[in-house]
Amino acid sequence: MKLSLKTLLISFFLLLLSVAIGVSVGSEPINFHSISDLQKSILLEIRLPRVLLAATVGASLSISGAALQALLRNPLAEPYLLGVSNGAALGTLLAFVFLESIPFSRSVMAFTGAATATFIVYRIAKTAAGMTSERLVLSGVIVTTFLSSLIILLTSVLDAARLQGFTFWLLGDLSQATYWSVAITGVTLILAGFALINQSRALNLMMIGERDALDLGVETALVRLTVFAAASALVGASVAAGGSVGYVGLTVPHLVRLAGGSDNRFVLPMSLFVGASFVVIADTVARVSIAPRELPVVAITALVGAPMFIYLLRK
Amino acid sequence: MTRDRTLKETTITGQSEVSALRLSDVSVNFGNYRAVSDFTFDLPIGYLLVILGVNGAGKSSLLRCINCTVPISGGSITIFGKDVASLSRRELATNVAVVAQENETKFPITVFQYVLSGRYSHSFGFGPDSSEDIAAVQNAIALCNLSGYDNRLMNELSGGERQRAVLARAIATQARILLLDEPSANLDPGNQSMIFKLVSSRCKECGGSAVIVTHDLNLASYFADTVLLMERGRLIDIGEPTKVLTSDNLRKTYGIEASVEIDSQKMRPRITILY
Repeated sequence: MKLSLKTLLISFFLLLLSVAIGVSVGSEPINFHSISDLQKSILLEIRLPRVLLAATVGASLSISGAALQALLRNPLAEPYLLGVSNGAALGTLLAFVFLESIPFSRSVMAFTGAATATFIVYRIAKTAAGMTSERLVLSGVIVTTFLSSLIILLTSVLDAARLQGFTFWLLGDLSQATYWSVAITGVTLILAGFALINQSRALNLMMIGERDALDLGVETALVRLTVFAAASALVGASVAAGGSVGYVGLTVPHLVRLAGGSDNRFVLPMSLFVGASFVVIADTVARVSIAPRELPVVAITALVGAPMFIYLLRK
Repeated sequence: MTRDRTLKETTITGQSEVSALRLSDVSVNFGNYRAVSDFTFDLPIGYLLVILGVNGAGKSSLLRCINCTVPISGGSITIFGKDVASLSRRELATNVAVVAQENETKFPITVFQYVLSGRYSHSFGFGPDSSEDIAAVQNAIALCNLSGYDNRLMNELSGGERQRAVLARAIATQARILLLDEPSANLDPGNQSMIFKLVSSRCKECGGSAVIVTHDLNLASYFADTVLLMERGRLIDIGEPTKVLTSDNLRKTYGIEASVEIDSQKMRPRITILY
């Protein structure tokens, strides 16, 4: 399917609708006809930034998942499964513990962690003969579990009280959202998202095969670098702001491809919009389903994503 | 196209010395292993060159160094008078198209989309495809007898259909040099001759040239303008089929006994391998 103005408008409308639902639903019922000052501040200072952050995080994770899948020719590539999210989480933790006074340290360290993890997984998975799904998933698992154990080690050794929220945050916690974090993820999304969409034609060729792409005129090394850097920036910014929300980058691009084919000029921009709506809705469900307590948002995304992962692996 | 034709005519009448492909002292090394050793030859515009040799003789490396996907360790390669080393990947792709042994695609892709990927080097940005792109794709699909296959998925096609789609993609690039690495391996005789016929007629009509690696001696004999025999990275012989495809040369290259008769109608050697 081609990206038309109509599909773009529809998906943008769906995003607006899910944002509207996300803002109006919550543990504190809000009557929009006679709104109190308290309700107003809940709406503007807590709910709106949270819903907006859910949108930018969802869009970032989905579009980077879609681009990584095309680049690595593997429908199972996903920031969470590839250890990219955990790399970013470890970076964030290190920044949180050691560099707290330095501004932007969390985002920068998250990006560094994400980029390092991406590079390591890629090097482990790639052999002279190419890269198989099994190898990629396995090296993702190896790096993910290794990084998880590092994170657990650090959190247990360090001052427990200080890191109380960290474990919850690790599973995707958008409750700390501020307009500041929305701005950082939003700007990253605009820049890195554009860099990825700009490569969508080249990614169409990479998806067929790297050597075919090279033969047909793609500067493959440049495309690979661009996608790895942009995906690391997107995942880094998202994880630093909202923890690692798993399975989004797997579920959303797959649904988009199912609906409209695998042309990345369609898949990348659509993943961005659908991913934003998906996490906004998932976070809303996580907020209200056992209110006043909250579920980690990954509980919802994994509920949809894990069965899909099994389906893709068996296909 | 008209410009191409004049180029071709001037070459034939000897007024221009621009050849489609020229190799001078080209070598390819993989570590200490020398895959291609000091190759020098000229391929005039409109010519079809067939490379023959045993497995591991360096045929694919020779083919691949022409579009710089295998680096050369010595010598120089020019296409239409331009050094390939000075061209960007995009410029190379607009001049040289490759038909490789096809790999399985993990993502479902339609024949149309697949052939459209050949238009990459003509496109910019991420916008919609130009009408020129669409026309080139439809033309290539029709040429390769794939009309009506536009929306079929690549991994649902038979071997012959897939290979024709790969050829269609190469034709859609409108590159004037085609490189084909065993394009007819695993194909039935009908598909084999269809591919050779199509490539040969393109060379004559569009001012292009083609280099084909194959193991089929008779296809080589009937369709090639020039045959190149190589063994362990060295050039054994190059020239017209009647000159190169002799029992002696075949024994030297493959270690086989073969009887070679000249087909009196087509004036081409007909080769029967004696087992």
